[in-house]
Amino acid sequence: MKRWLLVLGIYAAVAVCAAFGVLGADPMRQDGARLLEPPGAHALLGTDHLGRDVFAQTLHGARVALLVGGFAAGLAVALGAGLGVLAGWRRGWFDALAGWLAGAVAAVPSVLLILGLAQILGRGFAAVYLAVGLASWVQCFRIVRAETLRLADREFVLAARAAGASDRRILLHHLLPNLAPLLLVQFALHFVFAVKVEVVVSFLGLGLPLGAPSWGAMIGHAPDDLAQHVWWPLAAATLAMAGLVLAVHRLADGLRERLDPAEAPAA
Amino acid sequence: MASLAVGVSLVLFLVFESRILGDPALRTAGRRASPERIGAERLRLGQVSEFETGVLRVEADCDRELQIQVAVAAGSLVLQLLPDGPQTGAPLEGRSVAEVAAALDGRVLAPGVVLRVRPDSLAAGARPAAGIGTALAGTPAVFDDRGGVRLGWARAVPAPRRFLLRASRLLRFDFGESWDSRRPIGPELLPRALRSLALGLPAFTLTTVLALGLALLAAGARGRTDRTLAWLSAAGMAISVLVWIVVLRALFVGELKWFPAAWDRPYAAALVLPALIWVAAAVWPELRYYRTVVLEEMGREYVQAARARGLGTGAVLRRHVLPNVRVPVLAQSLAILPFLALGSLLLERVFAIPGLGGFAVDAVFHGDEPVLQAVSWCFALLYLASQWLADLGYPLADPRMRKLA
Repeated sequence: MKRWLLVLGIYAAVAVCAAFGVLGADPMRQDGARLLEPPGAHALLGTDHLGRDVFAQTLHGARVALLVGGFAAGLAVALGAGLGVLAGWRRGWFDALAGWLAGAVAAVPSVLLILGLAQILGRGFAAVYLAVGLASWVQCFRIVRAETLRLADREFVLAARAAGASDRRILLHHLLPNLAPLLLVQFALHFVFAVKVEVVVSFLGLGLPLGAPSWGAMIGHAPDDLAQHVWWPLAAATLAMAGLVLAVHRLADGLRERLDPAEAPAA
Repeated sequence: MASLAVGVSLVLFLVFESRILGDPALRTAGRRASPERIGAERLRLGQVSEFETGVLRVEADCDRELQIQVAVAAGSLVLQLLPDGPQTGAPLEGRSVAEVAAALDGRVLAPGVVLRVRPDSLAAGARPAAGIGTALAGTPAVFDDRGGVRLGWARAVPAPRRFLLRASRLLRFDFGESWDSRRPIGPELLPRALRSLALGLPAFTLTTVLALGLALLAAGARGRTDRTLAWLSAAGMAISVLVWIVVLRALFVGELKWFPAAWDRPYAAALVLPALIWVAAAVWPELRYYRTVVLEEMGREYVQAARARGLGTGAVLRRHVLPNVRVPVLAQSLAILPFLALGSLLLERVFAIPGLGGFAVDAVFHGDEPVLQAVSWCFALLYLASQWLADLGYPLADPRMRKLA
């Protein structure tokens, strides 16, 4: 697990460096004289169809991926966990209402919902965060609600209540610490989902603003590239993304194992 | 079930037709479209029940100004001549648009008169679209920026009524026509769903059999085989679905030319490669899931008992474990069922298969919201159906659940 934390740390460091311009040249600078150059001395990972440096794009892609994954997953988890805790704690009509809403959102295919939202909101970072977050909170809601229901009947909650703790105090000081690992796992899963979905959304011509250095855009252009035997942008983006996804997945697995050794997939 | 149907139509309505995420009329007509076009769009979307434009038209071709203030009172138009402009008679108050038009007709069209409308509700420099926007809110004035003046009248339909209209149409399977092709959507759905199913069903069956087989193999062999498969599935899952599609298509269609590139007769041949790509991309998460399921089952006491009786691994897996993983397999299959009819959005788009998924993606591309709604609605019904099937199927697959049911 430490290994994968290190991998994630490297991605984060690359992203921060890219954000401050320390690492990698301007990923969007076009060089008409060096189109589709294979990997070599001039450009470590070659150049793409507009003469942009693939290596720089890959590095900056890490920043975009972390942004998309982080914000979209943050929104989904905040929404799902907020509603889930309230539904599990308050029960009654609120639970019924939230459950109904979650069922309705789940019954609309999430990819279509994301694409529809992305189309309506137009291109932009916020649009992607919103579309993915709004369409994918249901899973988190269900899990958090079930866990809250389970925890709410436990003795420590009863004890806190008997000691005269307010709802607010029980939720913040007793339930939240117990839910935190679960929320972290959910965040990781939503993170992976968001990073993967961004690729699909970019490929379909929606999503992030044109010119944002995203792995999705690099993979999205691959059909044209491959027709000309240009494999390096696709390979770079795929490997970079696979590393990130794998690291986050493994971290989630590790966390789940610590959380509940009996239920984790044996690795 | 009915409540879920209402919920789904509510979600669809909130996303597509309420103005929460921006104004759908402006989206389809374009922000800079003419007021008439936007008004017509609103009428088509059911946002307004009446819309008239071009009732008043005054050309700006002279130097004197006539200033008229526009307001609305009790549902009818109020035109008030401002005192600093030339007098043209009594204030035209409380008349309908048509009446005002008739009353103003002779006077303002006289040569040498400019009619300038200065509505207080409109911010300076507002676009025509914004003019229509306020018209919806109750002020029936529409302006274009060329100096001429047009007044239009729109009567807004309240959102709850729009929702009811829309939901009742969905419930009656009246999907209207596609904005893109202008053809009715309803008759297209079934053939498209069948084509998607023709791709999805074999691909899904193959995926499940392969994943389950590999999971049993991993669980039976343990050790290195298991670790290798676990790593493969983790790596396979980390690669974007799009990469699988793009690379395998470029390889088998572009380079090796083993498979046809287009959707053409014989259709079965055109479906082979997409189905194989589906398997290649989808088998990894399934394998991971089934491996967990099988391993969990292997740890149970009855398995140990069977082993203690001297059964070999193969016999244990076949006779004891396999029948007991029926429920997870069924659950997983039923969860995927609605997606089979939807097909793979990406595969259908890349291979130009005229299925339901490709239909939906094209609809996203063209902003064709009726199609998106229709497809989402069909999916939602299938989702309900799969849940219902699960309720029926679990007791059949697992006798322990019969008492609960």
